[in-house]
Amino acid sequence: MDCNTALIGPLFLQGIILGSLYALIALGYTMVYGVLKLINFAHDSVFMVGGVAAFYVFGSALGLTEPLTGFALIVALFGVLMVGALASASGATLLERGAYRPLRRRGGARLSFLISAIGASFFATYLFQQDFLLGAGKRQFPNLMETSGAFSAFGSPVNNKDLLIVVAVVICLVALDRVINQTRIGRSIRALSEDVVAAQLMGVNVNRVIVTTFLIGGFFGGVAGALYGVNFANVAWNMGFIPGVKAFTAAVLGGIGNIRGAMVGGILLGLIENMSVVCIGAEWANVVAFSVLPLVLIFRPTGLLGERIGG
Amino acid sequence: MRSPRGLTIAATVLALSLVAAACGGDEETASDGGGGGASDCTWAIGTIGALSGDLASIGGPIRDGIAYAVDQQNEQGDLACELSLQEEDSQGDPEQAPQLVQSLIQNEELVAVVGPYFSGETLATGDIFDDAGVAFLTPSATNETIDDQGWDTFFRGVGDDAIQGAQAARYIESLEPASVVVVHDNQDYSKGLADTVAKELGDIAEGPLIINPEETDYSSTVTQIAEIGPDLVFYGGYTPQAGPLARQLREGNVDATFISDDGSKDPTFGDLAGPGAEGAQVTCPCADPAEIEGGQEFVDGMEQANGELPGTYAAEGFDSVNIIAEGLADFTADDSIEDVRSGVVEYLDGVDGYAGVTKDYTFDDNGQVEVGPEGIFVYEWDDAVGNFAIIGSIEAELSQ
Amino acid sequence: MPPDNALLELEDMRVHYGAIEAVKGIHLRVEEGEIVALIGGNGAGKTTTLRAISMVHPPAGGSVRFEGNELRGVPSHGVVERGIVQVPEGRRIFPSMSVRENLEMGAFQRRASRKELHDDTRHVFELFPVLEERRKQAGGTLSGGEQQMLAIGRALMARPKVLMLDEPSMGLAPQVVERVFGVIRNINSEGTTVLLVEQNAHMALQTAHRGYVIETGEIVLEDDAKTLLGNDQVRKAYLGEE
Repeated sequence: MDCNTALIGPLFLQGIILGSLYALIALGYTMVYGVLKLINFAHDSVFMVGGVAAFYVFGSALGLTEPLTGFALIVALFGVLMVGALASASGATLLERGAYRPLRRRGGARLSFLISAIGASFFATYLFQQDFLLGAGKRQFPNLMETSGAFSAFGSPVNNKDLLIVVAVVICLVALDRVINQTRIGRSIRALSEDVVAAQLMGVNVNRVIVTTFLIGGFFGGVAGALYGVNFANVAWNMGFIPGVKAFTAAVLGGIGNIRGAMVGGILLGLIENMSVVCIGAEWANVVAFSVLPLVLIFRPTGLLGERIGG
Repeated sequence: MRSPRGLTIAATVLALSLVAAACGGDEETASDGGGGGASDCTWAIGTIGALSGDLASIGGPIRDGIAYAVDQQNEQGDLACELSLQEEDSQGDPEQAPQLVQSLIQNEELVAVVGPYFSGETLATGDIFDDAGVAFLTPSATNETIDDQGWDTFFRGVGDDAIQGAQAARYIESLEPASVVVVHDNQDYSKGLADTVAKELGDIAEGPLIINPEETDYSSTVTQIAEIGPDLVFYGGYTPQAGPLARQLREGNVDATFISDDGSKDPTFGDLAGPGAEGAQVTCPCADPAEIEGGQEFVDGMEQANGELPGTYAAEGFDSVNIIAEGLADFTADDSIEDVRSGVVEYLDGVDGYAGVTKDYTFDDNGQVEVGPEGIFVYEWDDAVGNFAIIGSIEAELSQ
Repeated sequence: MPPDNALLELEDMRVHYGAIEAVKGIHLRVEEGEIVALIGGNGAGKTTTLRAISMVHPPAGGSVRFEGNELRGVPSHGVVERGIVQVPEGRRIFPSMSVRENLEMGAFQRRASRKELHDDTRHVFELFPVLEERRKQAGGTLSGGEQQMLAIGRALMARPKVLMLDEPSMGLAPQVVERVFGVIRNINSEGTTVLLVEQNAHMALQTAHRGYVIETGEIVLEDDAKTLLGNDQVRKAYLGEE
């Protein structure tokens, strides 16, 4: 194997940036798993909805084409991320009501939830492929910010979009950690994830907590979707597929159900994927990334940090 | 007793409904042609390609050229039967194409097919056309292995990627880059062309690096390219990946010249590439019809019909229908569909110097139109037009 | 006839698990200020009864009335809100939460102020000083006895009108059992009504005012606790005496 060591620095950096996006998406998988023991495979569509909603509002409706600067840029970016977040949060709660709650009420088996999840994912994805929503093909996302170099790290230039991703993800992760560990709603989510019956006996409203969990997971998925749009300057009906599967892998790697695990797993997966490029080609990145799934399940089934949702 | 009688009833109902359907069909055709008198029959031209989906921006213009030709033929009314167009939308997907081709060849009125548009779907369906004895003339699938499959009913109206690849490599060499990185996305067409270019370039070519067409994030590939620091990047593939890749290269501070191919030659490239579109070029075995003698008539006609200028391979699609129409000229409504189908194949085998809009057509034994290196052109992105604009034939450029 | 002012009253309550009827139309009443024991063997339907009252597994028929109002149709969190709080079988401490967080979970539905939380936590710590020592420790790391105390403390944080305890003696050493039952009597004397489910009939009947005996989903005996303690059938079946 011939390794190009000059790539280590820049790829390390790219790995962290990519991984932090995975982490943000992985939160949705891990939180829902935490409270429902359900793998919400439709979370990839939730992510897509965030990017697409930001595209609607800032591309189609406001018709922004010229890059912004200064205060206007900050306002616009905040707006883009919030639109994505709110759209995905509503999408996720809709999903919970449409695809999961009816099953829960009827006492559906674990497998039926999984099948419903996969069905809902394909449904939403192909729905957005239709012309009345988004249509096929990649759509150009408004070019809000001109890419420019910010500073240099690990021998590689970090541009303003990279910086935006890292800053946004860090804010999201810190905020979520606060919410989960220090608020009443966070405590109820943790309680439900640890023991459903005990949580009920403490007066936790199970349905409300489940909706809230979808809402929070969707919110961060939407931020990630909008970040994708800003960063790659396009959105597409199928944009969620690959990031979704990667984020799910990240969640498993960190310990599905564990929020800090999702953060660690995301960044680690981004690094693993990028570091594989140093010695073998980028075409192997997915082979390496997805080998994580069986390896974790065989050697450390509960993931690196275990299954508990809270700190 | 009970079940045989049930079967009999079912069979009778089925038979009756088939008869009814057949009668219905006859009536329809009769009333269609009733007024004109010129034709009381229909011949269907089939076409299959990406009419929707990610690659519709490439497939759409080809279909438009084909549809325009069918309309023109009917307007002229020289043929014994009216032409209709049966469109099948494969989304460019080799896995969807076979069943659509089945539905084409099962059409009792179908005489020939213009398509498939892309290499992967052509490779996936050639056997079906060949077994059915239906001519399939592709105006745009350029993979160099297609004409080596031994399909008797295959014809191709453009130069293949062996020629495009070789010419692209010669053109690249003429720009004297110190190093070139070749990238593709592992689809049949993309890989075939990129590998040819890499081979022809020899030592100055690095790669090929491979991206995943389903991904949006090419950052690790961009990082690799940035580290190599080439003067030029050649991408074999289609617009949905070429555009974002060009953008990410530019944003990743790779200021190499970006050259792609006919699969990336459509206006949406500019939207997706953003600042990366500037200076981007594509090679294409397609002439700009506006630059060809007599081509302006076609361009004006299509603009009038569709309200926009013909896109990539529209003229080749137009030519393809017209060649097939030539082959239909000797047939009448009384000829069986089998005779007409095999007659078209026979005619195409013998075509010698048919003067189309884009070129003079002569097919070799493998069904490949004979084109020389002068049939490969290079285009550059023009922001003012919002499309690729022709620079010229590579052969002509190099000889200057 | 008992007076008609029962705090909690089950009338012909039936509970199904799929096709199986686990509780077959029982009648049971708990007066304000009482300790009532529901005793019976393994699988007799004791835990099912408590879960049905808490509406975690709602009854399929009959009625459950609390302070004169029907509870059927009320969600489980609504039951807690109305003042019926359960210490579940097996304690069900939140293992990764600290002792303090577990206690605060007990006050979850009350939306208690910081001061109330502080005062109530103090009260629990006075009842169970060992919990104060362990207040920062994760619930899952406590011993069985400590977990039982935490489970009771957690339930008290909800300021229940009726405290239901499911097998509080299970798996505990005899002296710990004594202490736990001492605390139960204490809680009762401070004004909380108690419904106690036990296999340990001796301990339960000594503590309770009245008792019910449940067998395969049906109430077979109902009487003063002292009377039941002296009942031959009870002595044979549940007190291990010949």
